[in-house]
Amino acid sequence: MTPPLRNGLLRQASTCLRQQRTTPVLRASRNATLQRLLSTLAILEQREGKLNMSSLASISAAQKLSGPIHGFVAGSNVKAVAEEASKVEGLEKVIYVENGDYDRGLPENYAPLLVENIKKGGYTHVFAGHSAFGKNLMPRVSALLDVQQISDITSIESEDTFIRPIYAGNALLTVQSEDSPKLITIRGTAFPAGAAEGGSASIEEGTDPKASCPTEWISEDLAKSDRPDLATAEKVVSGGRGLKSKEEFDRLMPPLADALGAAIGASRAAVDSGFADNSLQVGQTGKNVAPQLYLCAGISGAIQHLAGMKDSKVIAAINKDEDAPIFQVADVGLVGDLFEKVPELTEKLNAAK
Amino acid sequence: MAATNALRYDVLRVYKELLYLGREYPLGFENYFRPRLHKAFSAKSGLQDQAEIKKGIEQAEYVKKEIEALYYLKRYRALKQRYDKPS
Amino acid sequence: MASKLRILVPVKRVIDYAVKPRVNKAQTAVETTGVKHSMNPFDELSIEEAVRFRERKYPVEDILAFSAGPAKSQDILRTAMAMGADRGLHVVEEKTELEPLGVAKVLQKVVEEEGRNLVILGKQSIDDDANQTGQMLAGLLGWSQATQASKVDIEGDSVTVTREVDGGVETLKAKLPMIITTDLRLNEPRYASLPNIMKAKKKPLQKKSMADYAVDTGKRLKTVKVAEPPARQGGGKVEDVGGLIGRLKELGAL
Repeated sequence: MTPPLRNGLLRQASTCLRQQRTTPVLRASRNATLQRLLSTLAILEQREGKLNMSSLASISAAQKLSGPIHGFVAGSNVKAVAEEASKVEGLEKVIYVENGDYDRGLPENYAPLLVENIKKGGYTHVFAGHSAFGKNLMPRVSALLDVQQISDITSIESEDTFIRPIYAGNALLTVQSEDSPKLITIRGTAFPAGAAEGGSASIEEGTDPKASCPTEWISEDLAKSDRPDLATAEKVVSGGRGLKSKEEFDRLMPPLADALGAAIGASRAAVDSGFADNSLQVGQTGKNVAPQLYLCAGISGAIQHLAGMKDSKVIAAINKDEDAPIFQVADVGLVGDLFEKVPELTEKLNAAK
Repeated sequence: MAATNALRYDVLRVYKELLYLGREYPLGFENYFRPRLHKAFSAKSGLQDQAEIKKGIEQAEYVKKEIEALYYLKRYRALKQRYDKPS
Repeated sequence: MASKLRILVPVKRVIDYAVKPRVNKAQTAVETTGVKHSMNPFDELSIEEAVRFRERKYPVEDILAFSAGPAKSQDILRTAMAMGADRGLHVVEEKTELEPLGVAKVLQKVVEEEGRNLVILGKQSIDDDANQTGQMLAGLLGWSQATQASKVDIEGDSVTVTREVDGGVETLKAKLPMIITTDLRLNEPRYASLPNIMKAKKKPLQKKSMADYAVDTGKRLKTVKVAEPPARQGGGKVEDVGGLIGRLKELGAL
């Protein structure tokens, strides 16, 4: 177990650094002292008795620091998960807490659980993935420990300096923390998770404060699909009033739809003008559709009716007016005469098949 | 006439609201939105028939909703792209 | 009898989402001078949800909008009131950049002083992207939390929340008092129209200073550097049909 002196020394060091007072002993060998005293707790995720392999990224990240790395996992039947995790190279120990109350990762009781085990272990760093679990939980732990968490880091420059994206990645911030412990969530893609092999960590039971949890987990839906309406179409092509007539709508749209393997839709204006049947009208019932591709041609106005398509993966538009509002919302836009572009698109798509 | 005054008030009201809304128009307020707004209203400034004026106001209200939808969808797509993990 | 909802909605003034952030020459920060600012979009979702509770005939007693920051944060509070918040509280802080932990501590005091039983926050602000304040506040208060909410239903003291998680949704049930943070899908925020902006000028806006709260809001983190990342792919218009097909393939739509 961690010698009490080590804890006290580290806390004292942090306080002194924060208050910008120095004690001579620390000053002389500050870096070396802190270097020796690093240790990291990597929070691992489990689901229904299976180790979440992407959460191993916390361990990969921790390997950039010196000092021992301990894994932590909690839930029902979690000893087996701990055993699997113990095979990850670089881990000294895996701490597990077997208690079904932690299965859903509810922060109300999980946070006190972590606080207890972090304090007991005297860790200088605590890493978790910036996953739904980590995002939900870690800040609550930070507040209980009175430290300022650093979220979603993409790089570790030193034990106290990290890089993270801000402004949705439009800028990269290098930030330094003097808090202890340092609570950090890591961007999984920046620290590829290693495999669970080659290691032989010890396994140990952790402490369980059994804090009550006022929140109740009810259900989940992980096969979520926002795809009613226009069948479960993966692609939708819609024609608007720009097609000028029912004949032209029927001449241009079905071949394009076939070339794309898409369902056909129509704007309200097109339906009102009699170009297409009511059943093709896109976005009228307020139902959300989320195809991979939503391509609209000749739809200049009627932005409101696009609301039902707002969860499409990609929205593309062909329109002859370069100022058409649709171009403000579409991810890809082609300015041109649809009577020229739509057949050309159909032809090129068919040629590539 | 009272009815005409009420309509006049409504026309001015919806004009001011569109002007306010248009400040953030992506293609520009001064050079794009404002001149077009002015032109659209000027073109109908000679209307006398009450039914037609009402229709014009309805159209303006529709445009208001269109612009609000544009702002919302543009922002929704931008934030979705930035913050949602690709499914 | 069901508790009345006394809602606190913290809102933040940030660089407008449509503005491309530029790093200053000294590489110490993103340039904010002379740049258009607005309410953090996720905070608009919070205000909207509170106002919709009232429209759904939930027993809403009071919606208090809060912002901590420089003088201009007031504009954001006016927008919140134009959207339907009843009153605003501005904690003036001109110099220090506030961190989530510091803000959570002030919010804890506000919750206690104002007798709040529901706090709705944006899941993150589009400048620091920390995604922490709501959870921290919940920890300090010892309240239930439901983050990234896409649906909220309240019946008496019982709150059912559907939240967005990796790969889907999960549903939780909790009791007031609690903390909720908003996801993009929660609702469609109304535009603060001109007539409502005018009406909002009559709503009460209280000003306080950070010193009034006696909490430690000192910065724990030091900015070493701010840099621009490698140039990203442009989007937008393509030249021809070939370009259209290519771009759609790149985006994984074909």
